[in-house]
Amino acid sequence: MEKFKELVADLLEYDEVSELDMNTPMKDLDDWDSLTLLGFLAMIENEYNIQIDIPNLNVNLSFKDFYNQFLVA
Amino acid sequence: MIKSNRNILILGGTSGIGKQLGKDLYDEGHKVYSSGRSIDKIHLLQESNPNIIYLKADLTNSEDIDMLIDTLEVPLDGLVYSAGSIFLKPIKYLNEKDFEDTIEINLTVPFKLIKRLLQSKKLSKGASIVLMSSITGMHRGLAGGIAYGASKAGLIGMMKSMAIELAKRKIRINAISPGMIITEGTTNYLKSLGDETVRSDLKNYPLGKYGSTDDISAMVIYLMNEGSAWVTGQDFIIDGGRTLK
Repeated sequence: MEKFKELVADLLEYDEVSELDMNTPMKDLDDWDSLTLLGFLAMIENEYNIQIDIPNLNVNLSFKDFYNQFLVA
Repeated sequence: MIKSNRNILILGGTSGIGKQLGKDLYDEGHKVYSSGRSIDKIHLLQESNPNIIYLKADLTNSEDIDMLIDTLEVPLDGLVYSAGSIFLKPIKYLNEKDFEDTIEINLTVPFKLIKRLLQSKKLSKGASIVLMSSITGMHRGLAGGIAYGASKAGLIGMMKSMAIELAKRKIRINAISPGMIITEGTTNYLKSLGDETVRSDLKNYPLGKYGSTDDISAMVIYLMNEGSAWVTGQDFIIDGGRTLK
């Protein structure tokens, strides 16, 4: 989870990982916009080799929910 | 004024704007050939539109392009290039292959197609070509649209020079640059952005809404008909006023 948090914080260009709220639905984040959406999907593909098409991304999930649903082996 | 019953080929005719165009051009009295990559989509569309001739082709494969052109029994009076990829990735994650693949399908393939059609004399005198571009590229930037914007701007540049060369054969070529058009694909994209982001984006559209495939289809029908006989080398922006802001 820590690596994922660092990657998301980097994507959102936060100075500190601690600024990241892992429990808020993605679509409700202040920084959620089209570039973040595209960057998030690209980051998941690059770092985890998982391709998720836009229609299949549930933006009602928080990053924590997403991690548990898709990235926990 | 309107000369119907023209032979028109739509590339990328099994989804989005191209799918709508097939139906509308057929309703206008034209004979429509429509190509797409997915055999499943073709089977479905063939059932609902039995009078449109659907052809399976992967346009990134040169052999498929040759096969497609060889399949055409008559010279085309109209060609619409609506295939391509809306590939969006921030520069941080965009690699060279992503960039090259986007340029290939959105810019190089229409060049190859038109060249092959001319070589094989399958574009009739007086034919009309329409290339589907975008407001992204020539008219505005889009975060994540580096490769996409480059390909769509390139398409307009290519079209303008081609218009001069093809005019000698009385062939017209124009581009359409749509703003956000509601299709199956863009509906999912907008849903992923969330309601608040979409509401905010819509404020950039003076006419207060996104476009529909009908808005684009109407322009293609005009460009396919005799009423546009003196129109070539133009880029028609259809965007509800998005590029005004």
